[in-house]
Amino acid sequence: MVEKVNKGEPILKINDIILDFSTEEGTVKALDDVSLTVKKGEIHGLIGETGCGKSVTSLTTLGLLDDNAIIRGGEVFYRGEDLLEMSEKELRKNVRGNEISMIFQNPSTSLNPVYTAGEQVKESIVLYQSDDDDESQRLVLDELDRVKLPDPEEVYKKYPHELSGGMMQRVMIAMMLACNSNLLIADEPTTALDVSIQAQFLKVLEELKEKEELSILYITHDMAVISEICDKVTVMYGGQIAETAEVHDIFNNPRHPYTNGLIHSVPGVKKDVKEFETIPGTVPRLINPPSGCRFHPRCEYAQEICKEERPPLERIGKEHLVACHFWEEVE
Amino acid sequence: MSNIVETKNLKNFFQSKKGTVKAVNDVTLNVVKGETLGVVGESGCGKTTLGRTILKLIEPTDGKIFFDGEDITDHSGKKMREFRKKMNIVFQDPVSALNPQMTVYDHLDRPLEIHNMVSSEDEKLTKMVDILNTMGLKAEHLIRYPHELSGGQKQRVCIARALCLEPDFLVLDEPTSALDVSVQSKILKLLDRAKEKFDVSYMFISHNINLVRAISDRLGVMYLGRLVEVGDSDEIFENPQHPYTKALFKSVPQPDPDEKVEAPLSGQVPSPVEPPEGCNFAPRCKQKIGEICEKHDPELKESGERKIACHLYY
Amino acid sequence: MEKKSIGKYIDEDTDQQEIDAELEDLKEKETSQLALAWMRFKRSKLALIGGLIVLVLVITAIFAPFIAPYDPLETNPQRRLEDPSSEHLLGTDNLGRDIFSRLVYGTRIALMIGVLIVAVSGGIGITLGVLAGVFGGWIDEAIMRLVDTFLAFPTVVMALAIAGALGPGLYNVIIAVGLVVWTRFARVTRGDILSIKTETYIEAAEAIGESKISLITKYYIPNVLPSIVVVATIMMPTALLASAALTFLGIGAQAPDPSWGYMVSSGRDYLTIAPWMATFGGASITVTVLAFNFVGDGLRDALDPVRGGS
Repeated sequence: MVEKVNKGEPILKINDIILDFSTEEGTVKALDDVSLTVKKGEIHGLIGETGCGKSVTSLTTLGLLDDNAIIRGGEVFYRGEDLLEMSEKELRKNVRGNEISMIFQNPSTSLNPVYTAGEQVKESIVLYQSDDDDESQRLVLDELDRVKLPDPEEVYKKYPHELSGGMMQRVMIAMMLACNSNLLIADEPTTALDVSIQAQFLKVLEELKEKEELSILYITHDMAVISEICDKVTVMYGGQIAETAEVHDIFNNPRHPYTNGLIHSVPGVKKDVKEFETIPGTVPRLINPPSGCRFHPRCEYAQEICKEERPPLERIGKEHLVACHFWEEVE
Repeated sequence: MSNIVETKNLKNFFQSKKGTVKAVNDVTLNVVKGETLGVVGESGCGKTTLGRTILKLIEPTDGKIFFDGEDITDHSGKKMREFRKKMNIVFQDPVSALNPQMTVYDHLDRPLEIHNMVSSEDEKLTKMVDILNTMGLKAEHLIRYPHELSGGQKQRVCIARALCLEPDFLVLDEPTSALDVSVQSKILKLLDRAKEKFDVSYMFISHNINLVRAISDRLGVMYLGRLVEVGDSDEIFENPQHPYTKALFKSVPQPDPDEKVEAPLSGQVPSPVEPPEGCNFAPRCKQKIGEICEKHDPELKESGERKIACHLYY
Repeated sequence: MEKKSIGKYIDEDTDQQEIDAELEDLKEKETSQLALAWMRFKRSKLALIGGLIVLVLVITAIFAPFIAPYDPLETNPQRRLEDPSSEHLLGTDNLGRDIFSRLVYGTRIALMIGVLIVAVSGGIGITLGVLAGVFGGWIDEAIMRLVDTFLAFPTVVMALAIAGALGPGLYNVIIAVGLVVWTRFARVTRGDILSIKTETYIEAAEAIGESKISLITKYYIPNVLPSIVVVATIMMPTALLASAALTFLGIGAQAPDPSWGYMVSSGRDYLTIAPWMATFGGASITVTVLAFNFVGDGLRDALDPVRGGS
């Protein structure tokens, strides 16, 4: 990992990934030309519903896909190097954990139940910061404090089952910081947490972004959370990228019909159920996905061209990309 | 305005290895006929247990439950079965709420058969199709097995099953939490439509505060097994009064990039096993007024148009 | 500039279009559970081979009179202990009977023994398993202690004891073995029921007012069925082996019935001069046992993910 990246420059560049899964029911066309860029010091939200491919995209980045996955094209550039070209050994040694960390929805399955929280963070400290026993202990407490865990000395001694979901997620962040990771991929990290705990957690992430220039790819289905901490947002639908824009533009000037529909069906935007808008139809199965733009069967602006030609992801503004033939007509 | 459901000092305690879990701890509330009562709270607040206890799917430890004026607390067997027709529940996970070996037809057939609601096969089919259509499904769906349906469709079948009973009262326990966002809004609209068509009262339990706001007439906020604030939904959202309610609402992210949350609540909800003496919320409350909060559990008392359990308002 | 959308879900009557389009999608999704299970079953070559063998056995049993060249009971003192030849495919036994014909008719006995033992043990085991699982409490405790008691003794020893008490004869062997191996059915049924008990659809059924009996017949049993089928299939070889063992020891099928176990035991005395009597009888048992085991394994893998939905 040679290339140094400065704040504002791309740290992760996913280019034109085409990915299939071969299953007994047929070939699942999971990702169709997926491109995404995360900049250093940016929290980039990745939003979409079931089957949109957001989790698959993150797993592709770290080479964590199942055996039945076939990458048909594309690259994943991290600090200048293509991760897809790396061997499993290289990824494990140089990338996973120390350069790029990943946290999931259920932290209890990521933490080792027979070691205390402190011991697990210490493992990372010893590997990447200091192997002196006393110093590493102190550094662990520092990291636990950095993620705003109350009473770090107590938490150090606790086993995962003695900690709440919110605390475990923060221990995971502490482990990531201990490794001096540059990029965090968070897949629905707060979905299983209470709303008050989620608020605390989001504040921690924000502070880390400000102080440490941490870059985060934040995957979720929750629009409210996206609007809370993300700088940039990418919307996925049915394995395709629909739109990428700064968070204000996504909410105030959505150019893709799907983004538009999504914004208007989120409770909180409309305060009464009678005013709720819905997107007709259902998410497509990806074994035989709709042709062209996969959203066309549900789109009120769809014309023949949408069925025949997949709209390219084009730049319509400084930071605004959209894949739609009729983006100008939306709303 | 009469009540379809009323509870008085309802308690549900469980024994666990660590002690007594006071899941529902002295809850007195009512659901007015024709309304939707939203119930919100975080983990350990007891809202799910409350719903099931009111339906007597779990027997209460103490207190009383009234349905349309009648005391059903001690009802069982045949007597209780009559009430199973009048009140029912829709669960959070539609996947496990449907019998994988039964078709949609079978699922709708059971309530109609058990309660002798139709006198001919024709009548049965007509009724089934009518309810399916209300839920955005068609007659052709009757022959399908659950695994052939999408998540949203499964949940619609669950709601249809409950509606077959023509109930007066439905507990909706996180009915959309397991579904995609775009599906959620559809289901909520269907529930709204069903409420009017079938004249049902709802108790809508959810952890999604924004969602509850959109659908509730009145709102109840629970913390650690107790009801801390109850009243008109819009009023509580405009002007929350209980310290917990205030802090909770401030923590809820809004889908608006210019509105940011605060994290006013530190720590986490303590375990409902052997809750602390005095007010449950005292350890985390920033508006404590002193020893009284730590020694005496505040009762749910009327304060203006709503009820609050807080010493600040006595 | 109001161009009409081509989206199939979009129309004036959005609701209706949407419903129709969803139904179209459903049709595409039409892989029934059975078809998926068959795909999984096919993956195992052993299971397919086993299945083929079982099919051959069943056909043999049904069409025995057409397949067997001779009457299995017809003795022929002139043609005793002959080697396999074009006239007698597998030779003759000590009373001049055609071994091949006896094997063919023996298939009927073998399958019948297997099916009946499965029926007896299944009947007892499933009933007790259901009671233990559904009602729990002291009923569960009592039944589980009963299971433990039966499991404390080796199968054959216990069956021997019971058969000894009942007396000789094929049907007594069936009852004896059935009374011993029911425990496997009971355990599997109870285990399944305990896991189904925590499923929400049971609670939903209670919420609509289902009686305990309806719960058992309409909810528990249909979902326990896949496991029971697997156990029953794997029980066939156990049943066969147990009854063959008992026959070998002198209890059970008596002369002149062409049961394989009897052929093995009576062929014992002639092993050195005419080994084919015992050998072919034993081989038939072995092949049948293996076949059912392979099918049982294949079924278990095929049905496992289907249970509880896909």
